[in-house]
Amino acid sequence: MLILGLLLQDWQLASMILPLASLFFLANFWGLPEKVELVANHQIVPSDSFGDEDISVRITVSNKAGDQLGNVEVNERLPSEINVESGASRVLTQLGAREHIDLVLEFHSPIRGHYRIGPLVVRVQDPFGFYLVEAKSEAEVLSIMPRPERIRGAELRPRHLGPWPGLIPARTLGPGTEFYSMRDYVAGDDPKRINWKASAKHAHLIVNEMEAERVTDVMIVLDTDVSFYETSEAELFERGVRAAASMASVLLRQGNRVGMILQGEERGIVSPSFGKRHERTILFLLAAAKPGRAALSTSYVITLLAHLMLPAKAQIVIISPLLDATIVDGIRQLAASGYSILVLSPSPTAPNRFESDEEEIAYRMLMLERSNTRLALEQVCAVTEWPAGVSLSTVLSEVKLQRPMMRV
Amino acid sequence: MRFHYLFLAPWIVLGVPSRVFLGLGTLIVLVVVVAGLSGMLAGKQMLAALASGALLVLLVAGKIGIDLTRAPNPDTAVLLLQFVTVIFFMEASRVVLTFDKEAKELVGRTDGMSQAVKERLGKWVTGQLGRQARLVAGALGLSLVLLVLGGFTSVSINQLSFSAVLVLLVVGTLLFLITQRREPETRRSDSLRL
Repeated sequence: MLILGLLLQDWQLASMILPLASLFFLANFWGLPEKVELVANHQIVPSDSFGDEDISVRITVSNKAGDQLGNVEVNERLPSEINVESGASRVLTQLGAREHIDLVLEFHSPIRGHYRIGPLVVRVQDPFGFYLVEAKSEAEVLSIMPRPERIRGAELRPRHLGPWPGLIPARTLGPGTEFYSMRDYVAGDDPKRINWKASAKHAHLIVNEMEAERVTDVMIVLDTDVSFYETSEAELFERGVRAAASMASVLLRQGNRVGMILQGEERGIVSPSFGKRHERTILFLLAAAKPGRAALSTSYVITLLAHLMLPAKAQIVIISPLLDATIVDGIRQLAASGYSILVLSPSPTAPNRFESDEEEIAYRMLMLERSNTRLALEQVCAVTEWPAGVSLSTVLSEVKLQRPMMRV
Repeated sequence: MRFHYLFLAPWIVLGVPSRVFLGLGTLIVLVVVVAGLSGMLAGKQMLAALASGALLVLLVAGKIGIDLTRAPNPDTAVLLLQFVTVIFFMEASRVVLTFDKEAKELVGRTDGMSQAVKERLGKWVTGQLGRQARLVAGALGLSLVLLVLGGFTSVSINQLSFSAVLVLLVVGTLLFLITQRREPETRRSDSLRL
């Protein structure tokens, strides 16, 4: 306008720059205090959940300076999957001198996954937005983990056993609940262990001996490659995740050392360890699991990691829909190395209808290939089908524990 | 606040001799009013901003047109008043539309936290409009005072050296005001001290 005014030699036009300059000047001196001092924090409560409770984010903003702030924007950035139920993620407010405000926003727990909450951005501006003081706080992660189901657990029989008492039969004498053998009574034996029927038959005292029960090392492998049929994919994958969480939980509760391998587009590894905190670590890993095709072959990954992370002859539980036949080679190698292997295979659910005949043929061929893979695996390890709608406990209680003759 | 285009557009466009806008003044008013009202009532910030921007352009274009057609000049104070009024309403409509948008998200929520946010939002919009009005009034007053002071000095705008100094002075002042006193952004993690 100034240039236009000078070009046209119109002082009225040139003078229109004055209100603009004055506005800048006044906004600078009146619009925003010289010293802006804010303290802002946010906290997610709870920061991890099983997805069955409301999540709240508590935001606190304090004006530590002695001047009022008229235009304060508090913006908590939330992922699009989250819908705020109460409160608001963006709050426009005034802040008095030395005022402290607490803001709370609540939302229903989203589906399983990790969610970045934040960063919390606090902006202080003059009324016209000419001047801005902005600050960001670090984002925090909300983890929605899969809830482990209460299952009884499978009857595992690995050859490798740890020294501590557990629930896995050790094929040796020791304290346990299962009958193992009988022997003659010797002084000092617990009278409760006397087998009165056998003693009467042999005319001297005979005591029962029990099979020792120990803990073992277990590696759970979750095969996340479920590239199958779009509509059924998610259900198949979530069933696998749930099974992995439940197996890890029950095996840890029994005192075993448990590790986890996520094998798929997103890979993750948790080394075998004990305890409740470790269960949390495994569930945290499972929260991030996403379906997708693996870049590295599942066979290669499981054989390499099993040898690196597990003692020889330990237990491996593989949860896989068996849609990739190349897994057979890896499992054969592991079986040949002496590992006990249980394959739990969530069965794909047939689509309600097919778009075309070709699609139906493709589906049937895939299922045929899967059956072949399963047959091949049954030669070297225990394989359990898990159809949709059947509880995991039921499936695991039917695991056959025959020691197959290996033809590797 | 939502209907300011109804008086702003005629005031600015029809205040200029009709030949400046080739006799299309009424049509221009109609277009600006429709665009502005649609923006304000439908909550379309872009449309409202366009209408306000159009008013600013019309104000400057009108003044240039007056110069070119050698029509009688308007009163300077009125011209400045029109200018700051358009700026005020442009910013005020932005504030009102932001308020509408935020309030809309809270509609139907009766819990305590949402009510508290609503209350804060209400106070924010009132405070923002009040402060904007004060700043605009101050800017207008300061401009008029500066013009009166400039009138006393009786310096001709035709002098080349004076024009150059004036341009440099204004640019320098604006740069100083924009860059001094404020850091553009302060980033801290977790606990912030600005």
